[in-house]
Amino acid sequence: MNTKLTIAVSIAALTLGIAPLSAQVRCATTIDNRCVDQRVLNAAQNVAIQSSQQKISQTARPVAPTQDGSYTKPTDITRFENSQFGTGLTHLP
Amino acid sequence: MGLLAPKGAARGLGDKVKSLMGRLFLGGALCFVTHAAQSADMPTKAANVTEQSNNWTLNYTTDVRYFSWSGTRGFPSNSPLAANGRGTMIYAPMSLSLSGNVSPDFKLDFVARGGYVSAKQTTANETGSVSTPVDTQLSATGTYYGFTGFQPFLSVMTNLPTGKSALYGNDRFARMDPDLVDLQTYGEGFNIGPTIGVNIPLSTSLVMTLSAGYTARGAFNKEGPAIFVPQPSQRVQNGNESTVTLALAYAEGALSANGSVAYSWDTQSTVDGIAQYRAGSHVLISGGLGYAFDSHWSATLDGYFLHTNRNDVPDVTGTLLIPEAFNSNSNLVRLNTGLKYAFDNGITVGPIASFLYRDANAWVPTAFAFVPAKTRWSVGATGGYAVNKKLTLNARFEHIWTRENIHPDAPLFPGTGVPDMTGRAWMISAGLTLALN
Repeated sequence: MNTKLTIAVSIAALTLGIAPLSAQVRCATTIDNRCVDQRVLNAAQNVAIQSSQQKISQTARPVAPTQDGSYTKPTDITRFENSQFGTGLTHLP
Repeated sequence: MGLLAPKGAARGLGDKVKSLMGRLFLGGALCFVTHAAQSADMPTKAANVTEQSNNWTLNYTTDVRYFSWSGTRGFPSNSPLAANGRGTMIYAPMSLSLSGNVSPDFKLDFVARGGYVSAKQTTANETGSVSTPVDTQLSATGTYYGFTGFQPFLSVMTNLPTGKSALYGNDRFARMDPDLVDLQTYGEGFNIGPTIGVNIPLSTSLVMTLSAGYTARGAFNKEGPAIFVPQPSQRVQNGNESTVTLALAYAEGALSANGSVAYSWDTQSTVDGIAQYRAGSHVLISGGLGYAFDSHWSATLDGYFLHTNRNDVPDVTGTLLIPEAFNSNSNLVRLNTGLKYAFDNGITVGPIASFLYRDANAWVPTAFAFVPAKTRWSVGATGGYAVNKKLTLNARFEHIWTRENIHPDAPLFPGTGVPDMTGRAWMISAGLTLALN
């Protein structure tokens, strides 16, 4: 499954990469029309999205492995669900 | 779009097909593209458009992590069979990320993440092991830059059940303490989580983001009690979750910072259709600081605090969920810090450390007891080497210590308690990030 996904994403990426649909980008602007530091905007948006999907997976967040330490660890969020006192009752012999 | 293709410009059939593919890719965001076409000619915004030679970036990132641990108790610690325990885990996550603009105003980000894990635990002469792909996560985010003063976005994340959620027989012992290894489980169901939000730049270096997300979590099979032969399966349906978030990020000169506050609430969780509990609402506060002392030295500090309110649990009749008498959820604090030195030849090295604390005030209704405090410390080092503009190598090692205080006996069941427990682990990892375009 992972191999198929990797191939699919690669094909999509190559298709888009070979022929970028836009060679120009507009910056995010303040209310007085000044360009915002894109890194700052990305940081705020990514933190907000990840915090809004804390239980999307018990395994990992959809981020690069090098960014695992930048967000909450899934097992910290779903610990109760996987304890003997949540639905993890089946851990017991 | 008007800035990309001037009026009257000749375009081949191939270009039109590719353009159509891009529009189809946008899906529900078509209204934004339409607005972009209408607003692209506005002269006041032209100053905010920049040229890029190739605006799509594709990155492949992977690493291999090896954990080896031993402790005075296996996992789960209060299993009747638990004694001294030890285990290993090899976890190899990987991701592909794609980012780019399909119009000057519309940016798309995609991430696909998967991996493979092999884990083994031995405790009280029982050994469990598992080798399996883990679940796969996909995410897609579209952000619209065409408005002045705010940028709306829509994100959809999914968890695909490519891992193994049910571990039959002794394989169940392959689940280990997540404070000593990276993974506690190896799979669950199909989850999908849309998030809608808006970025509001308060200045060129300070951005506030408001968002709301909903996580719909699919059912999956898990092994039933091992005392039955053949061992049955159970259908687990974890509760769905709704979350609202406020986030801030700032960067100016050598200082960068971000923080967020999120409030979440869940629906009930069931096993085989029978309500088990409803997780209490929780508040997550997270933040991070980074500072570059000069061109070589930099430091980071980040972490989060999690507080969960009382769960709802079955009443004496087992038919209704009512608030539990005491809060069975611990507060949690996690802090990570690191210092980094960057050499001129592209090598970076530095120490890292982390601390985790769960407080002692958690009530376990099934044991009629408070669970003890637990601390986790780690110290190690990290390093990286930028081979060239496309390839970066990285490595990390850590030594981890955990300590959990005494578990008291359950009332009327002397001898069911567990003495204080300690665990130690080593973790080493090596990986790379490769720019594919």
